[in-house]
Amino acid sequence: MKGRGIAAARICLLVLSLLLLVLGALNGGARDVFAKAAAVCSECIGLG
Amino acid sequence: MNGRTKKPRPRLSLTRRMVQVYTAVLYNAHVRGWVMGRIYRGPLKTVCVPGLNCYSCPAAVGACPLGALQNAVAASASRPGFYVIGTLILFGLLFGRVICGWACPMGLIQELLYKIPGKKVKKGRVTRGLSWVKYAVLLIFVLLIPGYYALRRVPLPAFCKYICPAGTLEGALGLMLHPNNGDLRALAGGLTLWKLGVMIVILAACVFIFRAFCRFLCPLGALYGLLARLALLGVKLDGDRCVDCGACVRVCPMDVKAVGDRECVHCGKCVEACGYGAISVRAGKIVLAGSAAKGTEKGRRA
Repeated sequence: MKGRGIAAARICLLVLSLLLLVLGALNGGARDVFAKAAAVCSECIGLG
Repeated sequence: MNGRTKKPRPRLSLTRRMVQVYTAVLYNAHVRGWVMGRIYRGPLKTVCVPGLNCYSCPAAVGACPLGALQNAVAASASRPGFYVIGTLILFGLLFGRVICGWACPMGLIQELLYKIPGKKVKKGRVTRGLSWVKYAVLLIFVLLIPGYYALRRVPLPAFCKYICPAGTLEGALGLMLHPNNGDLRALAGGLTLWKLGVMIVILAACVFIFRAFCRFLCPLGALYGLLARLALLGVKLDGDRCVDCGACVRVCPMDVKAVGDRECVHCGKCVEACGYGAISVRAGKIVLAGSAAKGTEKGRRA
């Protein structure tokens, strides 16, 4: 994959990632991330 | 004239170290968390940071992308994890494994540990083979196990729970050692000891092996490595100037086969080592660091 192929793949992935971010924000995925990150993660700290 | 161009600035390594320290501080800017022994619960926790940084660290101001991914997989039966997947693709596409080399607190810790004097393990066929283990860790502990338990509606972020040294070092020690958190210490048990043991083994290995965790175990590095060829930012090789002397691969402490491949964390050592100005740090077509000398070595030899 050279030059144009890489550029095309980059654009496709960029569009895809932005689309997923918007969809994720709309479907509550962002809220899920916040809910997990704003509480102590018992698995992370070895409590179960 | 031996055809060599002026060597690029040796300041690149220093710049990288400064960026590493700056990002580690930025990810963990909630100093009050250390004082109070409580984690930050503000709106910034909605955003994933690019590097591996436990969100249960008292000072962490953002979400861990790997923890968020496992939880997204665990919740996938009810809600697809578009937000986290989109975030990871975006990070990988823009920065690739530059994140590992420049913006990962765990990477910084590993590099500082490697500075402890002693016998060091050199890279070779064995370490190259072990570098594939992180892809298995990504598949099994980040995707398959959380995915399997998601079908039973049981959240199980297996990598966080059984392996992640960042969670133990930043989260567990950061919270449990605080005098206000006796309740958490009272809950410590076998799993706490297991995670503590895993962390000690990993950190000890980092004294002898350059970035042992990053090279062999880190699923986040594996994930970004998959997008290595597409990443916008990173060290790039100018084929016209390269004379295939191999100095770049020899000087590289990672298990690379070529500049900028899936194992490359874009530390820039090869930029400094290349005597032909064939390697530069670029963002797309913009040269950020490295020689911009005119002419080509192959052209001069022709």
